[in-house]
Amino acid sequence: MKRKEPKNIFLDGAISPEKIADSIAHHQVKTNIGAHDIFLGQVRADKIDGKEVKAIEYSANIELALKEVHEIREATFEKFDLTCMHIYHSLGIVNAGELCLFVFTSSAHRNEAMEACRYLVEEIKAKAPIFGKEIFQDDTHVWKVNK
Amino acid sequence: MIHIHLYGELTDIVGKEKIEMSSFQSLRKCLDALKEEFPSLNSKVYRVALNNEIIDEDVQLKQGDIIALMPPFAGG
Repeated sequence: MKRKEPKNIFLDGAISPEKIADSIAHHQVKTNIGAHDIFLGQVRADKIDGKEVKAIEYSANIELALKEVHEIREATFEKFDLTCMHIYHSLGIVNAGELCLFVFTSSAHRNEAMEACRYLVEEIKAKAPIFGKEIFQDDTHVWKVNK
Repeated sequence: MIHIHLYGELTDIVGKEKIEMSSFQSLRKCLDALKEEFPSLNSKVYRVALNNEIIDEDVQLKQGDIIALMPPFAGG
C-alpha cells in the first residue's frame, strides 16, 4: 500500500496516552489486521553534570522533516507488508515522563508489524531533522544528542 | 539575499534562527563568510540543505536561496 501525500507528523507538546488509545480503537474496524506494534518515545529525566532534565523542547526543520518522513514511509510500505502506519512526533515542550514519539504499525501478522516499527524508529531518528533542547530545573539547557 | 536558517545548537551560536547574507557566488564562500562572523561554527558538526535538499558538495548560489544548517538530528 502506498501513500502519496506527505502527512503532518508534528503535534504541539506531549502526545497523550488517550491519543494512543483512540488510535488503537480506530483500527478495530480493520479486521484484516492481525498484529500491531507500537513504539513510544518518552522524555527521560537524565542527570547531566549533576543537573536533572525537567523537559525537552523539540524543534525541527519542519518542511524537510516532513519530506524525509514521507520518503521513509514510502520505503517502509515497499519493504514490509503493512496494512497501515502512523507516525507522530512532538514539537515544543515535553516534560520528563511524557511521550514525544508515537510510531504505530499494523499488519496481518506480527513479524511484519514488529520489524517495520523498529525500522521506522531507527530511520526517523537518523534522517528527520528534529532537535531537542534539554532544559534543566534551573532553566539552563544543553542540546540533546541521540545515542 | 541568501537566507540562512539555523537549527538546534547553532541557534545559540548565532543568537537567532534566521539571518540573511548578501549574495555569494558559491555555497562554500557563503559558509566561509558565516564562519568568519561566527567562529564558534568552525568546531561544530552540521549538515547543510539548500532549498530543502541535503547536499554535500559546493554549488553555485542564486538570489533567494535558503540554506539550512542542521546539527546532528535528535528526534525521538
